[in-house]
Amino acid sequence: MIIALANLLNDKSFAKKLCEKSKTAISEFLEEFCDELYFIAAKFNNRGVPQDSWQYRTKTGYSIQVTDEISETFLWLKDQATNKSCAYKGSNGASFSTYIKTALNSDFTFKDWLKWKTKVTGYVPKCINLLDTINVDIFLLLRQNKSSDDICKKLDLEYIDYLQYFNQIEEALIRANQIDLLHKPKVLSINDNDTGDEEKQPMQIESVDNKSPSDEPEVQLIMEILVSITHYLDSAERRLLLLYWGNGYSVKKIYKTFQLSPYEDYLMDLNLKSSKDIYVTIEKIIKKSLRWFEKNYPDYHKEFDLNAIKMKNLFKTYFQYFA
Amino acid sequence: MSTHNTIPDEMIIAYLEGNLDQEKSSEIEKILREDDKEFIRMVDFYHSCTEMEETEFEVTPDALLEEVKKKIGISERKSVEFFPRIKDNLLKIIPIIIQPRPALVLVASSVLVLLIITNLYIGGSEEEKIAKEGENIEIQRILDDLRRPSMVPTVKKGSITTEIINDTLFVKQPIAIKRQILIESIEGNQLYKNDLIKMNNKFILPSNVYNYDKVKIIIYDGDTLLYEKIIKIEK
Repeated sequence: MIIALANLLNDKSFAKKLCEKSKTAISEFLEEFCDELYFIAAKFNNRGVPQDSWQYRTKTGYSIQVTDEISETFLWLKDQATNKSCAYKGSNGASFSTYIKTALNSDFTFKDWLKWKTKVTGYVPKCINLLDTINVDIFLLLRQNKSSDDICKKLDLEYIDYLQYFNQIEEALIRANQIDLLHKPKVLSINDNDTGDEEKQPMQIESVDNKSPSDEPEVQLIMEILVSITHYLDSAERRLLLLYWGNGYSVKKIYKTFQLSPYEDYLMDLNLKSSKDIYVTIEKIIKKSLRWFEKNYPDYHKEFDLNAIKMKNLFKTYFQYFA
Repeated sequence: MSTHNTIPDEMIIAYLEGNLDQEKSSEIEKILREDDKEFIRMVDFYHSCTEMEETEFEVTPDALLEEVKKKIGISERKSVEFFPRIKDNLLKIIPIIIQPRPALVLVASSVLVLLIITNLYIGGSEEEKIAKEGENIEIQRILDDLRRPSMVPTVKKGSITTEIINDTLFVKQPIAIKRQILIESIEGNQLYKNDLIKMNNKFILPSNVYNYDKVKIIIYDGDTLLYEKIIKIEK
């Protein structure tokens, strides 16, 4: 007990010195946490790339290669650590070590890093660089907020090809949890990609960011319906979709989260016995939502010709960009 | 609309570490149940914390760290004259060390051969064999480290510890994460199974454990084997 109290007092005084940017404290901090900081720096720069191929994360025993980007991120993390240490009060029982490592490695810090990084240069994340050159060109134009028409003209692309590349970009960014790099969609699409039939034109709704006055009531209606559906869903169901589509967590991580006390009841509510059951459960939630849609808005259900695939696309866009 | 303030990062982390008192912990749980955004923050911290806990980090070479410190103007200029002095002394000693001494070599070789033969023929008890296995692992670790001459460990990592006192098994983990603990016989028969939930856990040993001289304590995180230790049972 006395040792724990002494540690806490040490933590508090160390955090205070770090907050005051004392050279000795920064030096001690780097000595103590440099391994972790390099790991996080490498992780941020390699989001969406399997860990085995990280330049920094080589297997123990191999030499470490620290790129300029990783070095820059390391220094940025050091600054973040000094800022975050100011928020450490030491009154809640969290050790400074766990606090600082957890906070720096979090998705929230990653999003701050992404904002900093994208302001500095025409940053192209690793997960996009791994795609074709055309994807990189489209990504850079999207970052400049160019419309799909402009991009097609500039790169001499057919719209259908553009859509295919755009989907690849979107998918890579979602996997790397970097979807924030794209501006909110200009269309909230419930397209099921069935482009073979001219009669079945996909329905597209202008988003809240870029809507034409004539479509406004319809856009609002769709958004309201989606909000109502998410309220109608059980807490466990809604949170499952939020973690899966909204935050890009893998089924394994979601299952592990629901194993955490006191959320084990989510496992029972969703009838999850292993992480793989999550896919089936998502399908069930989609069907449940469709039934609710049909019951409460039968006319729109018919008009939109809603099916499971369209409902899934609608949910995906909603959770990725608007929830 | 949420009726509470954002939970401070530190408090969520203390909650995950299991360090909050019952009242505060229940308060946080209530908010996390009601507020999706706070729940997502907790999940983010949980996975971040678990990852930091479970990752075996590459060890940063001293030279790299020194370079960083120089870059930000906090380099500790270690006594510049000290190293040349050591170097000079080493240069003086080296010729003395490598000077041929046949008599000394002969004695040293004889002692070494004698030691090896004694070791081979005497064998040793079961306990000594286990201890030697431990030594071999330690030697292997040192050899592994030697292959990375410029890398020196800078941080001692927290780890899981287990201890049996009387009839109770004490298990300490650095963070309150749900994991599975198993006790197995050396042959692999499962004798006991339970969950680790807190940072400090204790379990009363079941009576069947006392049928064995030694048992294995195994800890899993999901499907990943985290910890394995053979413990001698005092009867």
